[in-house]
Amino acid sequence: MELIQSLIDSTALGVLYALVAMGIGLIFGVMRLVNFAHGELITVGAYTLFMTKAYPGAVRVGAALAVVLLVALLMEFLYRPLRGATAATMLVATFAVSFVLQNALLLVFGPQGASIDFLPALNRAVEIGELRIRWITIIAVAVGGAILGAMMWLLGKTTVGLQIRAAAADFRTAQILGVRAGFVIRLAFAIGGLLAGVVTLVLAVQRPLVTPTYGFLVLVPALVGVVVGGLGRLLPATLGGFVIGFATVALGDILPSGSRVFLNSLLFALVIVVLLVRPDGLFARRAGVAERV
Amino acid sequence: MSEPILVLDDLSVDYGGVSAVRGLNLEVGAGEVVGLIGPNGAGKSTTLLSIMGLERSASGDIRFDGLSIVGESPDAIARRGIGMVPEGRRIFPDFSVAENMRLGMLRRPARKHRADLEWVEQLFPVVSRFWSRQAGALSGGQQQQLAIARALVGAPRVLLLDEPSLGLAPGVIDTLFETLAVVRDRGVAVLLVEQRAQLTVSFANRTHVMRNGELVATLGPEDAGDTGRMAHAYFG
Repeated sequence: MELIQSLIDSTALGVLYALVAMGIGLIFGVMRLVNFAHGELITVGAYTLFMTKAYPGAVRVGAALAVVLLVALLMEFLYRPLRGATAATMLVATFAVSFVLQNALLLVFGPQGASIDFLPALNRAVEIGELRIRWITIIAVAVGGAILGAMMWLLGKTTVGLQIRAAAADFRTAQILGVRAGFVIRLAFAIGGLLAGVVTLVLAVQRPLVTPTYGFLVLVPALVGVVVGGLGRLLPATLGGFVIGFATVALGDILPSGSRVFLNSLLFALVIVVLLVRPDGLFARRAGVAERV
Repeated sequence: MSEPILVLDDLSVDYGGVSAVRGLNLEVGAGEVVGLIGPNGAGKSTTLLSIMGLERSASGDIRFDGLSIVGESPDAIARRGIGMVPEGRRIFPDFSVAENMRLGMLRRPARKHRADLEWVEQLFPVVSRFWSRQAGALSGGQQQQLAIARALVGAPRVLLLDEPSLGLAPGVIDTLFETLAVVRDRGVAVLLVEQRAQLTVSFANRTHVMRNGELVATLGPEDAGDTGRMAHAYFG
């Protein structure tokens, strides 16, 4: 029974990290840019929930998603001059945006943390036999799973998805076929933003205290997941995010309580082993011919 | 008389700080094939890339249908009606043949898709035969056909081809040129960059020879048998 409990909790965090990883992977796919400021989308969303405390839940959800989407599109606008720049330039620029946002939030809200108070009732558990599952866990798995499925459909079956995949696989060739470069990049940021918005909503229930590094602390493991899965392609990157989230909870459950302080050390040691054995990523196919989305 | 559909007017292109194309003047009319030959590094591919908006021109003008397209994005140029078969085919190997073709149809209104596709499938039966197959699983010749089919299904008024015969067996090359003749006869303006000089000179309405970024000679089909003149134009 403990095993099933652990599996469910692991899956819930895995799905959450998968959503973050997919956002990062989408933007990397079409722009070759690792957006270190992706975590700040989550932070901004969480502060929006904090700021709208006085309003009904639906208004707060709408406001958080709208603000995150807007900030994602603003980031796209900021990064526009970087198209075609070197990887190092892009990396430094996104770091800069991340730090500016973090410090701006620090100036406005201070370092202590603010209580989001968003649907706390969802933290109550529902008992199924001996299993105790929190409502938010069920919602995270269901909503996250549905969104991941919808994304697969969008990318695999629609013309818009085909354009995103083509741009990710070979940007120049996609352009000479008439794929609008600006459109697919904006779309990737918009979708990445919405995915971050959904992550914010789930996270806000589970972790109700928002600080300026709220999203950054989620971004780091998700980004590690992206690298472990394989940065160059969307599905492996998303799976990598899932694996890291899943492994974090599973390892935490396996380790004796006294050793849990070593959880991150153990996790990153495993990551290093994976990258030594499979430097292109756990789920990467042979290099060169791989489709990037 | 109105201007030919594609006009390069005193075009110069810098490539990585080096002057790759200098003062190039060239015209392609509807239903014409114009060849562009010359040694490696002569500036042929750079010329095609700059027409497509993938390389910025340093000076001069590129006009399509009488309007300057300099500075436009490659996707905007594609939607105007210029199709390109890039060097190395650049099909999407992990996509199905159908998905590759759907990308080619992007720039056309949906109501035209069926007619466009029917015509291209007649020219390239390989497309319908392997419709659901992964494009990377096709042979080299079939992939080249797919690359041309993908460019043609967008019904371009100008077709730019960068070394389409590269890596193909002689029999397949003959078929390729027969197909290009059909495309030309349909009124498409074809600008053909090739290494196979003799074949190109005999096939094209006229063939320009480029060397060190400059146009140094223009040959007609009647020069195809004159190897001395061709060699002189090619190597100086």
